[in-house]
Amino acid sequence: MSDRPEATRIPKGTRTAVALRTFMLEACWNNRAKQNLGLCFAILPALKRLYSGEALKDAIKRHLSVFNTNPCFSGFIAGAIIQHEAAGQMDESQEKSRMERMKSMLGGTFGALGDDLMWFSLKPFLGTLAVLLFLLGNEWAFVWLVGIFSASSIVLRLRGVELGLKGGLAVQRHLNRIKFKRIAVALKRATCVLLGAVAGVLLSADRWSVAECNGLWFGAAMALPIIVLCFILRSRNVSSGKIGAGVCALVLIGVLLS
Amino acid sequence: MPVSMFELAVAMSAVGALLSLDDNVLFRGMFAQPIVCGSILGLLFCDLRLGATVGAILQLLWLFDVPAGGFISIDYTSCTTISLALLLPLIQSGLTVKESLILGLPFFVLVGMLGGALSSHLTKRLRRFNEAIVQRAVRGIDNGKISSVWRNNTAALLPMFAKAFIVILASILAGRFVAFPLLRFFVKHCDVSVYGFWVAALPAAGIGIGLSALREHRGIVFAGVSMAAALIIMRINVLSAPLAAVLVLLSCLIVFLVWRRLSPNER
Repeated sequence: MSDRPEATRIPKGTRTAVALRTFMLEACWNNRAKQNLGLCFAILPALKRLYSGEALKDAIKRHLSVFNTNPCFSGFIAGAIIQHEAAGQMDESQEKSRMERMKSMLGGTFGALGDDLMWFSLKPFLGTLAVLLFLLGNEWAFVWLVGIFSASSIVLRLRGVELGLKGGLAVQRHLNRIKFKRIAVALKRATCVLLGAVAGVLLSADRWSVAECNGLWFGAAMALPIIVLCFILRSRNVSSGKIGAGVCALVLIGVLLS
Repeated sequence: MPVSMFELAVAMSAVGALLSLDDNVLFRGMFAQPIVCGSILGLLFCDLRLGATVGAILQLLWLFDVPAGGFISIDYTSCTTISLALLLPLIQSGLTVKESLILGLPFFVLVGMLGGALSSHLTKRLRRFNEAIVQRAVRGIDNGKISSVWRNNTAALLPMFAKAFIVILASILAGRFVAFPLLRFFVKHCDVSVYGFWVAALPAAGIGIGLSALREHRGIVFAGVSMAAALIIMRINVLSAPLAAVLVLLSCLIVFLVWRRLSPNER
């Protein structure tokens, strides 16, 4: 049986609705089943197309089991689930256990990939770029951060639903073609370089009054130990919040003493 | 029509709470990031530059606190909103922006962090409460009400918004009562105008945290090279600001390309 004709039963408007509804995937994030209600909410328009009456109720309840993934990549999984539902011809118990296995597998894969690419690579890169651009005089730098991240997130969700519908369980094949891992590594390296540039601009800019404090090297003497100290603290798994609070307290004590 | 400080605090809390939903609950488009949140609040309520400055100072601190796998860090959106909302009355009291930043910001960030920590704690509680919402949705489905899926999923946003709004507003009001008398004492006894370098301490901490979190092979070496390049370019006084900015970005690109050339990604 070919999957494609079944998948095309879902019209374009419904596919777009599913992709856009994934933006509310985490609205009801709960400790027991994570994003289960959000997933049901996202794929509901498609389920309504495929089922009605009692069958629809059963289909919704099938998707109330544990589900967790990276929200930006949730479109792929939503598409694969819909394709699976559209092509599914098994009895209820078989269907439920297979669906849970599939959701768990895809959720884990896309979660790991999405977290690495979006949260640990793209977000820090754009955040650092926005700070650097701001320090260099661009007050609207935040628009870059929001614009690029939101655009990539929207494209991933829309395209993800389409690819999920086409690929079904084998949707991961499409990811192998795009070198996400390499992109993530490149973004992390670029973030390192940008962080260095931010440090350079901070040490030189008059805005931070380094120039007012008896020349450049006084400022550098203050900033560089803080960078090194925080590097060491973070390496020892001290949280950013605690480090930030400590630095604020140090600043206050410093201002008072000086 | 003049707006009272309380009305301003309420309005800023509402916008801040709305933006904080972006971090863990809705959309996830980076609107909750300090530099974005600060800029939007600045644009709406005071001055874009001031808002962006507060946001930029705080942004690097939380660069690597990511909401992966349901992780909840200190609510940095609340922290940014509280810091900016407390800074405004200080500026209006007669201090310059620079003096207010130097003197007030460390205080306000500490208040904001307490508020943010409380907000994060309540988020964990609300996630437990969400289990009850899911149960209610299941009961609705059993009774044949399919609409209970979207109704309950959307309804879960309300407690999150209310939580952030109340925490931010309460922190702003508490901050004004606690921090302002202390700050008046500082203003009397300190000449803050010369201690501007302290403001760079928070971004410097963020840089240290970032370089540590990235754990890239040779990361510190290449960060050092780009730092030296940026420092040299920025210290050349004959360059205009836009030209210096372009040169800094270009130097970053060159350093990045050299790094890639020296150690390409493993295939």
